[in-house]
Amino acid sequence: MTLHLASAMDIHTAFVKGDTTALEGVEACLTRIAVDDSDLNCFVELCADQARDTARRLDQKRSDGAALGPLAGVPFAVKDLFDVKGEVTKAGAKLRQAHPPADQNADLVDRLKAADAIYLGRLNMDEFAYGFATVNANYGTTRNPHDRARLAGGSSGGSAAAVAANFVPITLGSDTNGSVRVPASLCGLYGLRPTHGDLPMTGVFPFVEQLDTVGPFTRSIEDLALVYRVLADRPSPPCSTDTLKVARLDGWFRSNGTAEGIAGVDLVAAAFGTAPLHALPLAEAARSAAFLITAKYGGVLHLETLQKHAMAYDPAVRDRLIAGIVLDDAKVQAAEQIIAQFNQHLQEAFKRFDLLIAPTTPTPAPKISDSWIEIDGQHVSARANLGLYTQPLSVAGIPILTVPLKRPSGLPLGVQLIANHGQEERLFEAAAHLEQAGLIGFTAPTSLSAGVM
Amino acid sequence: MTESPEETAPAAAPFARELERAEELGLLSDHAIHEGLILNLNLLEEHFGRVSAAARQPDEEGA
Repeated sequence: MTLHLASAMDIHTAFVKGDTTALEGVEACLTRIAVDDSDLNCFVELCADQARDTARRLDQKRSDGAALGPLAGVPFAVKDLFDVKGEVTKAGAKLRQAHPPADQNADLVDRLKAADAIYLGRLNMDEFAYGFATVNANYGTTRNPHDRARLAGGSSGGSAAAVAANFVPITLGSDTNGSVRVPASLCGLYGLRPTHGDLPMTGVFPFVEQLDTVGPFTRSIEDLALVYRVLADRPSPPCSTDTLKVARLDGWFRSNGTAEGIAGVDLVAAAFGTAPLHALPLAEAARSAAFLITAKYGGVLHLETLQKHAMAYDPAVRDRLIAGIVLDDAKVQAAEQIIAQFNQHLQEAFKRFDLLIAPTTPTPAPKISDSWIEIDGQHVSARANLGLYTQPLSVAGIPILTVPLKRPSGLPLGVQLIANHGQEERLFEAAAHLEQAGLIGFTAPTSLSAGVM
Repeated sequence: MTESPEETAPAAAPFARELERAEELGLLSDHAIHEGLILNLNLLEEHFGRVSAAARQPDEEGA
């Protein structure tokens, strides 16, 4: 088995059986990172020695015959907004570099470590998670492993690119308006936005608490379900034999993207039999409402720091936050009313359907050097429109899984599988069905360095 | 999430109240951010326009 290409499940199984050591697994990841990360720019902090020490202790634990956790031997890394004891949580910001190190782990980091996963380091992001691009004025741009001239997406771009580049099999990111789903789509991965409030946010630097979630990136649905159950501290449920009632979202979700994205949705939907189109009213307005409340509440969170240190912010982030702070409260209330109405429409849809399907991003990864893309014949900003399909759904607090279409000759593109609150397992079952049908799955990048991919 | 204001031309006049508020809060004191701020205020105003239009015509939007 080539360790850095292996799934988390395979690494774990090989370790438990004694076919490999935890240290070999860590060294395989570190070798990959050493070869390609100077160009891809995923890690902002790599804890190589700490990971080796953890691996040695784990190897000893196995030799001693002690019980091993469900992720024993599996390396992981986290977005630079998770607290890790002894490290500074920078959240992609220069002005946090001098902050004291965290005195304890984020709850989810603790859960992964308790499962005997091995922590490897911190990953690049847009400053304070306010972006869809991972173009960071302080820590540089994370490049897409499938084409280094293109964006990895954001704001959890380092987390996505690190998994796509075979640096680690599992990473954690955060998703406020699409920051897991957008980079997962552009990097060809599975990425989960869980039900809002499902996973503990303790020790995670906040952005907009009404919308913030954290979720994993993986290269297979089996790995995603495995790590989610560890994060949620929940056992694997019995297999469901339910026949899913599926619909494709119409209107906004079919009128702004590329033909290949829409074709991908139709292909995936066909695997469930009849999947009618379903119009979801107020989707465009819900997207705008998400913009308004994100700017307002994100801004208010930063007010005191902006008053003292405005010049230390990335200028693009600073100006967005200040605009949000001074936004009229009446406009925010109007946005919240639209969100309430949109959520009612969504709940009506879930009375008829178990699963809704929509594109994740309007296009594959845009070029870093070209900030404009064509959508429905219009020349629009790429960075502004990558969240076109993720933002409206974010306000509902429902679980959404983006899955990678099988596109061996094209750049990656994702499809969102959408279920009602608490239905994460239903999403995993649906994705497993699609993976078995050969319609979705990770395709290794061809641009990685030969010999050590 | 992000919104890039490249498409929007700055126009300060409609945002006098917001700029005054930013000044009161001490957010404009040590740097010249008016242009970037106005671009973003324009953008938020566009989004509010969509919210406002949907609120006025919920039946049509929902059709």
